[in-house]
Amino acid sequence: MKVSYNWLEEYFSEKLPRPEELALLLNRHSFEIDGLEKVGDDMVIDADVLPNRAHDCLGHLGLAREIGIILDREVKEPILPSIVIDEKVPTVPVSNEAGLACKLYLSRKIEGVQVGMVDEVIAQRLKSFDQRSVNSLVDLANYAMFASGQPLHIFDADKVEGEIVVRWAKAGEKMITLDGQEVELSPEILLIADLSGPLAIAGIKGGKKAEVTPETKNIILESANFDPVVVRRGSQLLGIRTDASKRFENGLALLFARLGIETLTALILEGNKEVRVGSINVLGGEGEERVSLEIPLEKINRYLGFSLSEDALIKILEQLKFDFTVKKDVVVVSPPVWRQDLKIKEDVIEEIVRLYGYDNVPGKTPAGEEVVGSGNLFWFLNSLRKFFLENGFAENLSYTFTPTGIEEIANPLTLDRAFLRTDLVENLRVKLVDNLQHNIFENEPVCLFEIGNVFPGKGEEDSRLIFGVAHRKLKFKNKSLVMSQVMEKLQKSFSLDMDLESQVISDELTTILEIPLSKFKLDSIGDFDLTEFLKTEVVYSQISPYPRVVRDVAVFVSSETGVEEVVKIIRQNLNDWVVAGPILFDEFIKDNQKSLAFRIIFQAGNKTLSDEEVNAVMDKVYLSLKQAGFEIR
Amino acid sequence: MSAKEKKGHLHPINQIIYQVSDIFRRVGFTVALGPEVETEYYNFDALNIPKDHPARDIQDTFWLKPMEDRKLLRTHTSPVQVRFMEQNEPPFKVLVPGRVFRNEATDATHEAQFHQVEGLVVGEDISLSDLKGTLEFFLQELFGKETKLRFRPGYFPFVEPGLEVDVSCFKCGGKGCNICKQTGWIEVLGAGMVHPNVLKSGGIDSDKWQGFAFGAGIDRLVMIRHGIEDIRLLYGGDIRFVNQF
Repeated sequence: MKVSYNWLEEYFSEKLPRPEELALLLNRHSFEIDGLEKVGDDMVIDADVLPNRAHDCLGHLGLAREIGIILDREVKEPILPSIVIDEKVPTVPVSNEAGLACKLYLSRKIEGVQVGMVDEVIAQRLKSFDQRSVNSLVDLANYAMFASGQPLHIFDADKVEGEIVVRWAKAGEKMITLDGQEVELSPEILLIADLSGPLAIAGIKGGKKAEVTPETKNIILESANFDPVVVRRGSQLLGIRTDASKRFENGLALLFARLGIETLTALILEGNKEVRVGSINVLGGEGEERVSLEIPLEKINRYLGFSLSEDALIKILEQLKFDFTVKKDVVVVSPPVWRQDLKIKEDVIEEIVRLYGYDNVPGKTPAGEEVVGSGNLFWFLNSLRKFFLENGFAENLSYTFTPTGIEEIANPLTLDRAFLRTDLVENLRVKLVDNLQHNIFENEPVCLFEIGNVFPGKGEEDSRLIFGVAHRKLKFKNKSLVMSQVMEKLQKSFSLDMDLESQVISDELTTILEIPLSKFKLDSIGDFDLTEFLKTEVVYSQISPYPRVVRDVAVFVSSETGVEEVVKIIRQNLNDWVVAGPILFDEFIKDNQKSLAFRIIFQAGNKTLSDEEVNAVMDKVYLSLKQAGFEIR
Repeated sequence: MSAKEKKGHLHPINQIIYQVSDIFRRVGFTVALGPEVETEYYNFDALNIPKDHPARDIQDTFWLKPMEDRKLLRTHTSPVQVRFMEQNEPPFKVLVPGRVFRNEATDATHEAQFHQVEGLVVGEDISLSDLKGTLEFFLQELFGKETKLRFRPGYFPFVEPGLEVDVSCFKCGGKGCNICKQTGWIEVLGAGMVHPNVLKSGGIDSDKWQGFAFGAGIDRLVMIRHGIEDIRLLYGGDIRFVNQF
């Protein structure tokens, strides 16, 4: 919620800390501040009020109270001007057919209003909270909400037929909202209605019928307390979320209703002294139950993990403005009635430590015996990973979502992600083949493995291992030698009691084996130390969408010359187009001379490289090699 | 470098999960895993997130057909907390890594599937001080001894009090850069003291036992650590990606 720094300051007799400092304090003790923005001579603070505080902090008064607690200052609670009631203005008859869905409904008729523009300060503030200006009355209702946190509504009294009823909607009933949308209602939706039909969706949105327009002369103010679950369901059913519904669904305290209606009345009177104000019609009870919590001091200290002295505790509770008494070993706490979120002991402890400051809590270093991984599925999986990494396989993680399957998602993101995978096979096959083009050498296989959960039947979830190899061309009776070797090793290393060969799935390019993890014995856990495979410092370099260019270079060197020496000379001449290499791929000795062959891969991030561009680089490489006395083959 | 005798490549997500689990293993945490398809009870109700409560909005959920079965793709690893409590007597320390799902439109920084690591410690006097000390130990092991921590109030229905934990930016060291949006801090964890209702769901007497829990999203950490600009690369299965790690 966006709030005005100047407005907050009006609640205090002394100046507040600078906005930046205030933001830091709120960050530390209350909630995150998402931004500060200078608007005219004001500073707009964007406070990310946490969901448990939405019922008391989505208004300037609530936020001022929070700041008052942090700074240990008195808040000037709003003093409402005494309003002269005109007894001739009739009260509006209201009835409630929805029981506790509407705990309180305050209404007041005001006659002789003039609709125009609000004063500049109010207009400016509303604008900085991203509010659209409608007309003076609607803007004031909005402003009163930003002051108190209580949503308010205004009806044109002359457009209301008969008495007002709070009731459930009838099936098929329709209403046109203030913004001209026709919505179809259902019996779960709570309405404010008159004789002829809906006037507003309770706590969510006003209707067109009794809309305040420039011609409006007489109005009815509404300040009510609607049930949070009812408002939330209605808002979800209709897909309409408003500033009002957001506040109601977090459960407002009843006392805000009176504060809201009086604030709004005062604002209307301030703009026009001539209006005739009627008395407030109260439907429902305004009495609120106050929570009283008995908390053993021992519990507070055990929860915090350090000892808070009784004096320090008393100081904090006073600063929190809680009513409390300390009896031998127990403190009995009554939070203010507007703090509807404080219901259990632990809630109060949170308030204490929030104010004390998490920074001031001492940290206890954890102590404990190292756990042996044996028998544990997670550490077993890491030993499996280690096995495949040592055998040159890269780990794949694929999507759980698939276009077809058995378990179907009721609300998928897209149709091609509407099912859960039944196995890991198809995805691995596609990835193996896709990656063939990315290998640096034609005869090099792509080797991938994955461990993941699959959903092979209704209500079934199964963890599986899959691994596979792809070759550009399979030799030897369509079988992968790499795969056969790995299978043999796997069988031995993990004493697998199953015939792997018969489970292999192969086609022209790929050889794949999927094994349920249930086939493995967890107690035969091997080495699971993956430290050597951690590359925490790697900075990812983007994969270029442009084609790559492959170049090989072979040189004859004396038999004493080391590979590193040659690599160093080649590297010196390369630029940042090189994405891989030089990689040594061939080495032999002939007539006391050593032949070394290297491969270099060029690929630019921003263009397709031409042969000429790559040749120019390679020419420099050849030249340097020759100058070093090596013979280019 | 030779074309022969090549080692494989561990996925960067599992690199962090391994590191985190190993750090906690050394101070007595066991590791538990749980199902990815969950019931509404374990994912929400048992974690003090009742129906029609605004807290459910935080987690957009994928439901399975038929809706009457109330089965879903877990939105966090927290259901495993309750499952573990049901099967084990306190005191205990457990770590839960796993895949989770949120029904959110995907883009470069949002995926409908991602990974979390979650921790739970329950004992007779496991306190907020233990929470703080444990997370300090963990985050300094993971990001380096010089890492500073900042604890802020937060809200998660399954803990009370709830906290959010920031670390000094591990890219710029806290001076301010584009990774930490010039603030010098990166939010890495949610944590708190386990809500008594959650202990009750797990069959644990909340008058006698108390504890703390914490959770972190892994994918975002992987992206920040390695400068990966698009989360979808993590699940693309491209060896030009994974072979860099």
